[in-house]
Amino acid sequence: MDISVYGEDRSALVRFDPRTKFVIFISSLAVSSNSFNATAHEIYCVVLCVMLFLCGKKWNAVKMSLLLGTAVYVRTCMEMQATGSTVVVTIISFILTIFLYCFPILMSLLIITQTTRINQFLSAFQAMHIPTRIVIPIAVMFRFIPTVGEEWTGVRKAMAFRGMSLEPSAIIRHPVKTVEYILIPLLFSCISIMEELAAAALARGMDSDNARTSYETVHLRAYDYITMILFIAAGIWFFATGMVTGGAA
Amino acid sequence: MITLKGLDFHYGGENGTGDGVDGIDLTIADGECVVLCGRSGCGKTTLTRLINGLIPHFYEGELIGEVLIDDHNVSKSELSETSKLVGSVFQNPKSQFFNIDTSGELVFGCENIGLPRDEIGKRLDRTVKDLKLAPLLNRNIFELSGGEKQQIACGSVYAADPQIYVLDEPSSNLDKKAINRIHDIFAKMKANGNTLVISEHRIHYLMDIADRFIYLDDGIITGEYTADEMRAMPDETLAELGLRCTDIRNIPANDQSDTMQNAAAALDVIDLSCSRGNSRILDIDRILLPENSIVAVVGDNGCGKSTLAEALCGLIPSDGSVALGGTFLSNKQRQQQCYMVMQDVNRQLFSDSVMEEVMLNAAVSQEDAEKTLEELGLGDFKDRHPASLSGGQKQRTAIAAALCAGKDIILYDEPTSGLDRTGMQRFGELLNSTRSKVKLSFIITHDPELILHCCTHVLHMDRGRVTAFYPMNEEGAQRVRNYYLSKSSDTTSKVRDKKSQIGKILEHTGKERPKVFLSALLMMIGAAASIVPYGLVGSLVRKILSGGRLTLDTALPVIVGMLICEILYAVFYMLGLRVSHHAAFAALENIRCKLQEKLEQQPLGSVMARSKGELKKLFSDDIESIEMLLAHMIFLHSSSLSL
Repeated sequence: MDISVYGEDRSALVRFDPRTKFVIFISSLAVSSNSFNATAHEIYCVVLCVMLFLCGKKWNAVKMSLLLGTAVYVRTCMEMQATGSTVVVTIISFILTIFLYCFPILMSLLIITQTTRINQFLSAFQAMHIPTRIVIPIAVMFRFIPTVGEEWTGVRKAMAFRGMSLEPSAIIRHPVKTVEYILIPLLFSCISIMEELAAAALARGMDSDNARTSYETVHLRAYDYITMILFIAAGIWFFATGMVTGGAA
Repeated sequence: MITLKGLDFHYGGENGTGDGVDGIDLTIADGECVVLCGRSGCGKTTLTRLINGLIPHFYEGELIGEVLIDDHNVSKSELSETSKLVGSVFQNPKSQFFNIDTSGELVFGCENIGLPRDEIGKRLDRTVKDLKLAPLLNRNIFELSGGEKQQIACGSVYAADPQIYVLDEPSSNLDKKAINRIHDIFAKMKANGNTLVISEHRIHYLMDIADRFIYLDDGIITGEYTADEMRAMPDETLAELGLRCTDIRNIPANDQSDTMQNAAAALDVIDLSCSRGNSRILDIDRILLPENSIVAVVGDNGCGKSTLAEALCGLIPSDGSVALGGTFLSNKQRQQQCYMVMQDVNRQLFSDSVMEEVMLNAAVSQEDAEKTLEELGLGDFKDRHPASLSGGQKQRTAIAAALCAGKDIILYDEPTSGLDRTGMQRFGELLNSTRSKVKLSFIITHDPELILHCCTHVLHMDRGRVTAFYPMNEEGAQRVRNYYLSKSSDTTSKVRDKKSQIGKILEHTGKERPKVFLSALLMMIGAAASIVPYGLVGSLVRKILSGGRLTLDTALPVIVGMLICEILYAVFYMLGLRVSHHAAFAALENIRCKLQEKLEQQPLGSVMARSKGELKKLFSDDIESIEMLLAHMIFLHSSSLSL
């Protein structure tokens, strides 16, 4: 999976607003922590795969739904037949259960990061009238993640020449030293990059008191509202049933 | 008009180094282009920061005097107000971007000002047209080369349309092509009537744009020259002032060829190739690098120089063999014998004092380490934390660590990118003095002065291939100068091709693509039909096992079913193969047409240099051999997989 924070929606069938995607994310949080009803949970996951498909990442959507199907199938098989060594079965069902619980959150995160551009986020935030003081740190965070990735690759290469190996055996033997060797150059180089970035952004007038406009257009259309209502309803339903079942059990 | 009156500034606060500028009195008229030059640390960058307002709002210190842009007092007003009048471009392309996609970055400045959407759209179009940024729109910034990043930075500032542009060493990480491009951008800005204040080491590309050159020494303006005076200045005066050359044609060269007679090969590279994703980025037939040589690797950004260096060190997986000193070594072994000093110095400093940094994991004695530090001018900084040093000092620390590590091959990635003449010469002398200790020094550089000053061989690369390798004698020096004076091609970096191998083949089939899928489907049906007989036989066996009697009558439908299935299998396979041959043939035709188009675009010399038989072989034999593969392999695989 390409974990880049640079999403694009050029191939989207339906252009959802970033705010809709956030609503999906929040309702997925509610679903994940309250999924006591397996069928409803699976239906929700499939709906999320369909959403990813609509948002443009068709091949990823297919792959994720195949993964979901396999996980559900294997878990059902293991639960139906009580054969097999208990240790292996327990470990595998543990992993699968965690995966299935986290699936809604994972999918909604994928929908957000892989199909939305950062400018769309920022303009959605601004349209929601969130103050610049909160929007800008979030934008910096988005900018920071790929930077750390790049710096980490560079540090890893630099470490190779100094005889600091990153093999698991070496890490286990000298954990503190390895962490020190990793953290020091990573932190210093990230700090220096972000300082230059701050200077450059300020020199281009980022902290002005005027309201920022945005070149991206972010509209809430009819299907956005419908989707948001559906997902909020689903989230509330899961939450309510979770409260009831969890309270009763 | 920019006025600096009685300006006195020293960095204070927590990062205080006490450096700064003293007694600056400067007036810059509208539409003028002023170049600030001088040694490293003379205060050029400080002056640019004073003009664009980062001092005192971002960098703290004691400021006496004032900076006025017309009536606007830069030091007292808000930074955002100043940013409407002054646009800034900084030296590190990587750390200027707030956004991750290029189009968003181009409109960033306008959004900050608060312009309405259609106005932003108009400005974006104007910027793209004026600065020729069309191939760079809607790209991921992390995929662009350094020069293209600087272009986007200039574009972003251009879209905000300030009156004054302040540029801090914009060419420092750029190759020749990119320097030509930003030169054109600056010419456009000047033609529009904007004021340009550029602080630079590499002044040769600014000779026709600059009106005035202001020379700073230790924070004081000690000289002011016009462009003609600068051009007329002889090389000795430039060397005294610590300035780099003003004309590439005049760079002096040190002839090192006599020292390199009869040298054994230190590095032997055979058939090295590297792919990233699905595109081949490095494709080298054979290189032989001699012992005790200093090899400069030259080429445009994105041609594979860093990839070659990393592949030689064994940092990235690659195909092919690399032999050091006669023995072929694996990646791990090469890592132990090579050392690379990278471009980003911060990534390589691991310890909390310079002395410890140099001795880290190195089998070197204390005295030797101290001697190396003395040679590099870092003797006084032995116990300082590396992060507290300046950029040039950090780089020298990394080089000291490289030398003390006792490795055979040292590679340098852009070691002189921000250095002035003295720094560059000192680096060259250091390389020369360590030639005997180190088997091979490998330098990736864009700096013609460094190459002509201290390198013994030059390796040219283009698009992952080696195009030339020659020693630095009289003729070689002229070749290097010609290379840097030549016009560059207009290509930009391509969007990273994310298609897989299968995707590429499908693309070649063109119109016949449905046939590919049809044949795959037919093959799958055929494969399914071939399994059914086994099931039928299995049912018969089960009947026998469960005790029933087997007669011809009962078995007849099964046998007929099996026959039918086998016939179906043969028929479908034949049909599928026929369709796939059609598709493969069409693919071959398309590939041949594409090759022909590419051939027409090659320079005439390269086509004529190849033998006629070679081209004929490429067109007929090599492509014919693909056809069998295409037609059979893929579809057989799909049917087998589905089985």
